[in-house]
Amino acid sequence: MTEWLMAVVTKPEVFAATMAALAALFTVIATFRAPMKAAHFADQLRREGEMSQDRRRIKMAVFTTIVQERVGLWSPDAVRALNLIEVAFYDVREVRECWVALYETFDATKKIPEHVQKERLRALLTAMAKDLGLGGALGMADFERVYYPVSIEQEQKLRMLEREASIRRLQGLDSPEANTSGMVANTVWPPRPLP
Amino acid sequence: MKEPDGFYAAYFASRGGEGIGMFVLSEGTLVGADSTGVTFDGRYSPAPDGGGYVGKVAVAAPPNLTLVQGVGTGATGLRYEIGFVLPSDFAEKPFIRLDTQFGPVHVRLVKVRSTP
Repeated sequence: MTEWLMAVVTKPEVFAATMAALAALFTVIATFRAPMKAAHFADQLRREGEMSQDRRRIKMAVFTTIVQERVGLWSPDAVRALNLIEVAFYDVREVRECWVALYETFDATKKIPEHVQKERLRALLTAMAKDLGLGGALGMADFERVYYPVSIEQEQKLRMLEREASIRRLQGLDSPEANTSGMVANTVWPPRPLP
Repeated sequence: MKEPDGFYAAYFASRGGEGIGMFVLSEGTLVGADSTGVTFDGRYSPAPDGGGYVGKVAVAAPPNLTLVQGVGTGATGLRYEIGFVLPSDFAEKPFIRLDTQFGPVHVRLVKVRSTP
C-alpha cells in the first residue's frame, strides 16, 4: 500500500491511472443513484401538485357555495362554507382579513347596517376570486348582481314565520287565543291535529 | 276573569286516535286521568298578562299501551311534561292545541261542575 502511494505521488502515469479509476468509480455510483434521485424528485413534484390541486378544489368549493348563497347566508351549506374559510384559505391573509370583517357584521350587538355587511361580503368574494386566479374576470360589481325570485323569497319568509310560530308554541309563549281553532259541529271530539 | 276551578270532561284527539279523561282544577292544582290509565298532575296560574292561564303538567303513562299521539309506552311506561297556555274561556272553545314531545294533541275541556 505504501509503495503504491509512493508510486502515485512520484510516477505521473500511475497518478493518471489512479485518477481515471476513481473517476470511473464515481461515474458508476452516480449512474446508479441518478435514476433513484430523479424518481424521488418526480414523486415529490407529483405529490406537491396533487396537494396543490386538492387545496384549490376545497377553496373553489367554499367560494362557489358562498357565491350561490350570497343573497342571504342562512342556509346550512353557506354556514358550513363560511366556517371552512380559515382552513381552506389559511395561506391567504387578504381572504382571512375580509372574513374577520364580515364575521363582525354577524354580531347583532354591534348594529352594523345591512349595506355594510353586503359590501364586506363582496370584498371577501373578490379576495377569494383573486386567489383562485379569477380576479381579473370577477370584481365587486359582479357580485352585486343577485337573482332571487319573489316566489323563493316568499317561501323563505314563510319557513321563517312557521319556525318562529313553532318555537313560540313549543315554549308555551303563544297567546291563549292562538291555541284554539274554529268550530267543530255536532261532536264532542276535537279534530285530529295536522302533523 | 272566570275562576277555572271545577270538574272537567276532557276529549283528546291526536294522530293516534281519540281518548277521554276527567280533570279537576282546584286552587292552582290540575289533576286527572284518562280511560287508558294515564294520569296527569300539574299546576296552573294566571298568565302574566292576565289573559288566561299558564301551567305545566306531568304525564305518567303505564306500560304497554299506545298514547293518543300514536306512540307506544314500552315495557316501563312513559313520563313526560307538557307546558300549556289556556285562554280564560277555554271551556267555551272547541278545542285547545297542546304541543307535546310526541306530537300535537287537541283537547276539548267541558266543565261538568264547579268545585264546592
